[in-house]
Amino acid sequence: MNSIQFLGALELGLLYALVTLGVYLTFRIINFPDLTVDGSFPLGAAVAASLIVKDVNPYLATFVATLAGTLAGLITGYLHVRWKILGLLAGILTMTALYSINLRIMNKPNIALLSEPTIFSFSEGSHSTLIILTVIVLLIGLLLYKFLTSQLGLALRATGINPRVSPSYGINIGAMTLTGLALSNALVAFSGALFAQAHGFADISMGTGTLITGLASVIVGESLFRHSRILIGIACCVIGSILYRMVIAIALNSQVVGLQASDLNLITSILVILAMLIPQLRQTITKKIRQNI
Amino acid sequence: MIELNNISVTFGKGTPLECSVFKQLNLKIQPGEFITVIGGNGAGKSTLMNLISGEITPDKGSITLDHTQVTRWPAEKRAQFLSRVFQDPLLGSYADLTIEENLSLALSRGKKRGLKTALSSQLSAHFKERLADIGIGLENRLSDKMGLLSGGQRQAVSLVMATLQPSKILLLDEHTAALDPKMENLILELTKRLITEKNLTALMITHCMSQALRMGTRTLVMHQGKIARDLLENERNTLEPKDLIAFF
Repeated sequence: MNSIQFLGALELGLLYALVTLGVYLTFRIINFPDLTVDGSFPLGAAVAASLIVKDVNPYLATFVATLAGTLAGLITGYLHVRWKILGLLAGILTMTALYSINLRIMNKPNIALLSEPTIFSFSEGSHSTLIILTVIVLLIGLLLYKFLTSQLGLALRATGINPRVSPSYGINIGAMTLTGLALSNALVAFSGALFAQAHGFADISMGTGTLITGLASVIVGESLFRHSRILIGIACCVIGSILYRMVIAIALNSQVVGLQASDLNLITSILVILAMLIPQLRQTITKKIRQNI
Repeated sequence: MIELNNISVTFGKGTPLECSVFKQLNLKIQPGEFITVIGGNGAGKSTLMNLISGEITPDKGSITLDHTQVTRWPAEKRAQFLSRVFQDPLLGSYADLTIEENLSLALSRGKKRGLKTALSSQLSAHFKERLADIGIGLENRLSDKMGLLSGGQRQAVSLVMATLQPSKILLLDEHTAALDPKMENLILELTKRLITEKNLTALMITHCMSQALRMGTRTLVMHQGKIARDLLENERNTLEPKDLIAFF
């Protein structure tokens, strides 16, 4: 891997760190397997890109994109909380609907942003994108930490740990689910908006595999350091996302393995499957060994 | 004062499994009363508690608290005036959160939760004091996970959690049923002490006849969805545990 590939992987890792944090919020904190993200990532990109080409200020465009993500999360939450639609299905429904909505927003399958002003274009330095992304990720991580250790954030975490007892402490589970989903999808859409601006395009198919990528990064992060302290959990998400991109870059660039860029989703899925199988396999193997002794 | 007026509850209405638990149930709980509830399986003890806590809404009848209608209030809204300790130590608290975080959650029971930090050194000092008060050495384990504690320790913390905030009624749902005899005694003593010290109104379900008579100021004997006996102080004193069984 050369330095350009390394920096590219680092940049992608930072961009997707926000997706990872979003997935961490739903899958780990509120314990809701939310698939909306495959739709809210391109939603963020679509909203930001179509606003920017209409000469809207890129900061405002990014903000509106984030709001759009919040709304997408709220819709999934509403379907689940109000109408008792299974969480997994509610997410898929919103995600599917978002495909059409994203096309409507963009009016075409993709938008190029190459000569447009973006939030990264105020500085001309060679690594400016990387530096700005680092600052954003650190800031978001810190804000998320502050939120999750607040009274409201603690109630949110409590809901995921023991929903049955939560009402007797005055915690409204439905409200917490909505909050978690809104926040998670806001982060993912924000990430999508940043991606479009950093890479110069928004594309209708860019959302495929967003969730699995985020989940893989969460799992990679957890494998480094399994700890339930929130600050460490957040740090592991960011590091996991970067490491995941590094591993993928190495795998794709190694001549020996002979993989192509299009194999990415396959590799990611296998990575997640392995991460889920290994603890079980380990148990079976230790059991077998014990029996043989 | 909590009043249950003409309560009817039917489970599985309109299905072949329809089962009427309560018909025209009436109960008045005066402030400061410590009521023990005893009865066989299916007598309606838990349903009574779930009615008060808001987990079940009655088909007919009304529930009032200090003359406010709360019949349709969901459990999370009623939490502002009632606290609960559950039978299963694992179920009543948050295993994956620290003792301190559990206490902080209990402290904001029924209050608006904002973006203020959930833990602080001030709060820690307060929690430490409260844990030291129960005298089982938990005051130095604030940052330990709740899940690391034994069942008895968890119930002790649950009691502290339930009494951290003032409440109009404390509901105890067989909260010593899963404990060994030694721990059971300790928790019962603690329960008695907290209720007396804080002058709480309480409703305790128990399966133990002697506990039902020994604890509290009033005993309800439930049988097939009815309050078969409502025993007050003077009447309770003349009864032996074995007499109780004759009522159901």
